[in-house]
Amino acid sequence: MDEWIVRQKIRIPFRYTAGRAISRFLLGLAERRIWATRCEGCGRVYVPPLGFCGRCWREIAEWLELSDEGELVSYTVRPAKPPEIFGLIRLDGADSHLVHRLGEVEPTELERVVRVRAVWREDRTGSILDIAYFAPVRSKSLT
Amino acid sequence: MPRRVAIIATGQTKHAARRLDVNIRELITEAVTRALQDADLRMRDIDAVLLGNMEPFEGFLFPELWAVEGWGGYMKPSVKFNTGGTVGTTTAIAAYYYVASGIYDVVMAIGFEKQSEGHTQTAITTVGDPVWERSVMAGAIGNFAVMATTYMHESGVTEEQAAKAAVKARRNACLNEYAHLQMPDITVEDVLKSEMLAYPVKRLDMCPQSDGAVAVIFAEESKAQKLAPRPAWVRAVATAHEQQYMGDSPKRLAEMRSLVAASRRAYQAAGITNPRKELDVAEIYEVASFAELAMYENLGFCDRGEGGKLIDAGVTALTGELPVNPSGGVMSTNPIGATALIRVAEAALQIMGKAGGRQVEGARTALATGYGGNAWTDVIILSRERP
Repeated sequence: MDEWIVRQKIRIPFRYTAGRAISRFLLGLAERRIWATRCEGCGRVYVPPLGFCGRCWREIAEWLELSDEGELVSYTVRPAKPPEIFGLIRLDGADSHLVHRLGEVEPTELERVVRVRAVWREDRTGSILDIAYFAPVRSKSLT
Repeated sequence: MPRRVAIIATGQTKHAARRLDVNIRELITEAVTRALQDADLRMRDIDAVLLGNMEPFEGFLFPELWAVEGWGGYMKPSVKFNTGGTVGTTTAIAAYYYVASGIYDVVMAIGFEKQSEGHTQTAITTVGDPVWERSVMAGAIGNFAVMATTYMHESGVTEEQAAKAAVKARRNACLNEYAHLQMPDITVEDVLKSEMLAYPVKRLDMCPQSDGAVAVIFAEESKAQKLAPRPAWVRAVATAHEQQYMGDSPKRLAEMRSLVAASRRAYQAAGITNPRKELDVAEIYEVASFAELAMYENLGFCDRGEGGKLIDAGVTALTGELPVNPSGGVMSTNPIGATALIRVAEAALQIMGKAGGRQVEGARTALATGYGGNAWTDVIILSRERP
């Protein structure tokens, strides 16, 4: 018996409303600013910001601006050429973490990287990719 | 023995073609917050949350993960349902089972869809048989159109009679502050002259695509009596499945075998022998004008071939003997994952006496249906009397 395979391709366009909190966050990125929210119930500082805390089940009204520096909490390396590095970054003052790319660093250095800062694109459009990547904050031990 | 269960609260968003002011999480929160307010409950009072949605329409897979902050599922027992047009009634029936089983006392069922974010008709194509239907004809409109042609032949129903159902829906919707398509001045002529989508279905014969969410809270007997002045008791629930491929069910709209089976099971469980006399109001998943008339016949509201005469006589009008879809129905509001649960919420509002300008005076027994994938049906009967 022959095996007969039916091949298909279906294209579906999507367009998502970012929502109240993320809209402000994305517009902030276009201005090189990082906006976070703080839940008055649990005190958590969320970035990307939440407008509603699902743990406390309450609206979040308090906004604060964070610096574009923080701590590298975890990472992985995709062995491409050049290697692609992804990390989990906790910005100073935040309780949640950003998933982003890392640059200006070799995979072999990653274990020693503690502090990272955002490297911004020149042509910013209101996207999480307005931050091109996070780069190590160089200290003497890394230079 | 299952425990007695009642609906004690409902909450709906304003439904619209495009709710660009909110994202999916925020849309759901709007409905959930209103349902909690309706029962004067806090999220911590809810024992389990069930979520209904048709993920392919938004391409927002696992909404139970991505939208958890918005629907109150954080650390709570929960399951998501994805059963096509019946999503909302599947979720409602599951919530009923959760409470009737004795395992949970207060359970929230949520349904939502944000159709503006994807391309629904393309996503619906993936419901069709991949080898045969997708290559020839799939999607909601063509399917309904073929079934409507058969139904017209079988029953003698006319396009004018179908158009009357479409007019009733959009006029009733004007009495429902949450409804999407509110058209106070719509006429039968307008429907007949609207754009032909696929013979005999014109644009105004079809349901719209909507953004919206709904939440319904179910509770066991003692809590229901404590928390709601007039709970809507669940008298019966039933589900029936049919073969999906249209070629196996060529008289699908005329016969609606799954609707006949599910409704007769529910009537029997509720002790109903004459649905037209014993039901006070029905909120049915009519999808298109022709389907509403076929559903009258298959729900036993009239004899076969009499669906058109029922609408002519005004029996199903808001002031008629058996009002059907006082809310404006699916033809006025259709956020798919919420649509069937809106039927349940609207039926409950009628029993609870909270339906505002669309209230059917003295409604004591109400029917709600869900219809999915052209093939399967859910039926729920609610009553003011405790079963």
